[in-house]
Amino acid sequence: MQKRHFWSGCLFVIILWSACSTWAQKVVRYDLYIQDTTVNFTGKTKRAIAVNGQIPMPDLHFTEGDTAEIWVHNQLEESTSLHWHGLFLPNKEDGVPYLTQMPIAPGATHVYRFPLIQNGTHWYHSHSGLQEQIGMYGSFIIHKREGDKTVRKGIDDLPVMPVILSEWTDMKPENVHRMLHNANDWFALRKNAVQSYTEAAQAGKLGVKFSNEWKRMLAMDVSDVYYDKVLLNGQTELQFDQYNQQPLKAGDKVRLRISNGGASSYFWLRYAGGKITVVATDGNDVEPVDVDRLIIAVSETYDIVLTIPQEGLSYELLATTEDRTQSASMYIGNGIRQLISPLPRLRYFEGMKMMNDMMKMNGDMKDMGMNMSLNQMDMNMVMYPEAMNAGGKGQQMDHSAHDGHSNGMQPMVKKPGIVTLNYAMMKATAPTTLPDGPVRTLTFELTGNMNRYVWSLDNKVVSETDKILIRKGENLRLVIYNNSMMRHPMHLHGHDFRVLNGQGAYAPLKNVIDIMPMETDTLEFHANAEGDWFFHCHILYHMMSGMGRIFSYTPATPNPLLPEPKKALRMLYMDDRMPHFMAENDFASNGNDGMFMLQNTRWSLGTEWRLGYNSMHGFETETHLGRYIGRMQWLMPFVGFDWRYRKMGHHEVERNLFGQTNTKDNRAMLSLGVQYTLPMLVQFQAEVYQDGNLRLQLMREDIPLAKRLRMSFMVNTDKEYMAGLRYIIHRNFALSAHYDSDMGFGAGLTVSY
Amino acid sequence: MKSIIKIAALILFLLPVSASAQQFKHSKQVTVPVSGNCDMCAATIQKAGNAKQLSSVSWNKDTKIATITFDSSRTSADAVLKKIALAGYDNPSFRAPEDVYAALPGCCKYERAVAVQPAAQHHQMQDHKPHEQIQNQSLLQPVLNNYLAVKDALVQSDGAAVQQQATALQKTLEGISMSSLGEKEHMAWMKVYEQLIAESKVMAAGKDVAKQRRVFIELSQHMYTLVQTMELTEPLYWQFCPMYNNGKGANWISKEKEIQNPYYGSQMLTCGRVAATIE
Ligand SMILES: [Cu+2]
Ligand SMILES: [Cu+2]
Repeated sequence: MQKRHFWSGCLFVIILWSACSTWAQKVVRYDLYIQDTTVNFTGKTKRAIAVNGQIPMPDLHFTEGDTAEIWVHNQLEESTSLHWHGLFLPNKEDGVPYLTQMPIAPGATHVYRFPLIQNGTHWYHSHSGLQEQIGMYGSFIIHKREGDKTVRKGIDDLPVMPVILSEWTDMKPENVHRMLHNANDWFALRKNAVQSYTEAAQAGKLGVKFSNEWKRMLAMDVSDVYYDKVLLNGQTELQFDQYNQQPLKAGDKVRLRISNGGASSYFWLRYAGGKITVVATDGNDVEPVDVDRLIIAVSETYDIVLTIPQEGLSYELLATTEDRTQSASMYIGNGIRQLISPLPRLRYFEGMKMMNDMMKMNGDMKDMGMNMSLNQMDMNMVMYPEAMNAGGKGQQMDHSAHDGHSNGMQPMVKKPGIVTLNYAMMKATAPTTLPDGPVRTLTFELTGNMNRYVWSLDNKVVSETDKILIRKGENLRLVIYNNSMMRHPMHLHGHDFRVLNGQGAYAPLKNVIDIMPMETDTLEFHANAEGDWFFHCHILYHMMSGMGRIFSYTPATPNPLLPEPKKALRMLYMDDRMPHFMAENDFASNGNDGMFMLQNTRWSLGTEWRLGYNSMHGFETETHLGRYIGRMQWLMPFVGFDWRYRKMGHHEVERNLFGQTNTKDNRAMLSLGVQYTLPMLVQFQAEVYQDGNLRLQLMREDIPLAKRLRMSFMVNTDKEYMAGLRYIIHRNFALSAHYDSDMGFGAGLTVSY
Repeated sequence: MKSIIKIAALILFLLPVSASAQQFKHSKQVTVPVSGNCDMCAATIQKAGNAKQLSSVSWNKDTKIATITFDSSRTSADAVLKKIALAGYDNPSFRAPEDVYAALPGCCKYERAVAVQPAAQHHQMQDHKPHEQIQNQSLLQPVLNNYLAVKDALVQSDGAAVQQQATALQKTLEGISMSSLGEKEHMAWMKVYEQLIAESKVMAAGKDVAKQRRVFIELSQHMYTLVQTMELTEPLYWQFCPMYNNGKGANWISKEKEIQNPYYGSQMLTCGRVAATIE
């Protein structure tokens, strides 16, 4: 891979060190110029945001005790903000637009100024819209003071490099967000993870697929978005071969300060040179622990120590997305690059089977009494081919006792078990017990609905809830249960929490915790600040869908940067209230068939049309405005308006299954109805019109027959029916053929947005 | 006229040849030594490096030189060499992953230019010895011991003893802390532990050996699932009696290779055979 320098020559770094020597405290100033730019990671030129001409944003270095003064010059045509992830700072410096400050307007300069009262590996990113996805992330490193008694020999004195992970998609992030909400399976197609009926049959898992759809689940993946590239410090490949002008050599240890600045990707980290020693997380030291691999959740940071085993080789540190479709490499040392084997493709149908077992018919998850917590058991392991090969069990089976495992697989390679990091393995280097204070327990259930991409806490999004009031001096204990099908990295602004992990007084401190489906984790923190602090899922598209809460210190202290807090809060609520648009039209030989839809967390407004090319075929539109009910949103009552024009033959009378008649060529009707998702994802609709006519209808669209082939059908009591096939050729285009009781057979091109 | 046809034929004949020699828009060619032995190596190397409209590789097994042609606007020689290394073949840019090299067919196991120094390996081994010793005894060992005691009681056809041992088994099962199990054990445990507890409960509920034996079929199957994931100190035998259960047959686990049938006891003590050895 070639390195890509997309910023044009003038890479200007503006770092002004203005030391106020009269005081021991030093002010460290950075100037950040935020500009629109274009990048080319894939052969196509796309818009991105660069800061001081670069992606990622520049590494910011400080020493504990310094005062950071960061001048943000917004040269974009839109507003922006910067959040200092993991830092303890005054609320007005936290960088959440409409919550802790007003957005930084285009052309404006904003100064963040706060003392640094901690150390460690942190990072910073835009908290405005989806800007983080297109370049606004960077490392924020606070070094320990010289002579700090927490300085660890052999760790804090190693050659060190900050590394920030991220992903790139050529699609506009707004479009990604919209497609996710429309359950578009284009991403799955790109990842070869559609899990269609044909693929299920080939894998001998047809039954699994049926029971999956019976339980009203769409095919799942470990992550939602397909990315074109994975980046380390903005590049697909990095080399760490020297430090302070000294080449790295065999026996040297290096420390990497790794932050996951990805918008929605988790990364596996594996090293070709042996064990990975984890020494800190989220900016907090932990006792060194040796592992073979770790997964870094969105927005977490880990400090790891790696050893260069041998002269003449440099060793690959491979960062692979959890869905294993993309990876980026970093080579440590000098010489021929020693590779590590890539992670094999996931076994999706094993995962589907596992999901079937874990999912009750009502959409709740059941953990089968496993009391899962702290990432100790990765249920996705059933999908990992490498986990099944490892373990070092030599089994001698005779042929009568054959099981599915050994069929058609390579001879088992004897490998020692793979040690994967989990939260229970981490131990703080000093006691972290909270100061005395009244203890209050808050419980949260992480909830979600993959089909409609609604993500929430206790089935409520940010805009549907009040702020959670807390008092300074309290100790808050959060018990969080994940009752959704995806994992969520939950992040608390402005505080570190203790992760109660069985290490007693030495529970590790973090500010992000990844909670897998069915896990329950207990966190606690001391309320020692003022103001409003966001607590949210850090998957960007989940956060923008409203998966969060606001912790608000009471009594409230006025924030000088928010002159109209009520109005500002309404703006903040806009994020998850925003409706998502989709539209589709089939230009077929027998007519036009299409729909458009506007949907948000609870509401849906949609119009369908069938327009023939002549009046005998007729023109027909149906508009529904409905509200989704319940957590799984299977039920939607709606009001409707139908309009139809069709030229009927002389004395022709239409009669429905109930014997109700209709003779009108031209018909405009109001209706009341209800839609319900049945097992197998079939939509049942019952609709009563103002003339008393009743219509019942069954419909299903997008049945995944094969990777690119979708089937649909509709049948109703007006004796109308339809069946169709679509072959997807592009994100926006499909070839289609259908038979319709009104318009007969037709073929054409379906265009969708 | 004839000559025109001839020329046309010639052009048609030449076209694909010249096309294949100049496949790519921004074609570039490099030659790189790539380790390997035989024709099989050549096939693997070329397959790894060939990509439609991107790159093509031809490897000479005598000179051990790969000729790499690629579209320089879309890929690089390094990218192709990485793919070749990931297929198992060392080259000046990349060294193949240890496990991929190890999985090459015997005839392809070329001599590697850079050997892994034993010292480095040794060092790592030492690091992990104490770890391994701790892990040697599986946390599930007590479950297995209780199961074997139940089995022995069945061999004796002693319903009261079975009841006693099954109660002990149930207690042990309920006392296992799942989170301290290894990954593989954990997976198996999750699958079967509920059934194991239920079955041991049923067996502990009475003294009727016939009833206990019927449940023992299932219990043994579930134990087998579990045992396969365990770190064992000595081999176990998965044994099979073809007669029991109306001729459908039934299995059990034993420490001894010799058959001691728990389904019939003294009636037919040595009926059965070893179906598998678990190590
Ligand atoms: Cu953040
Ligand atoms: Cu989430």
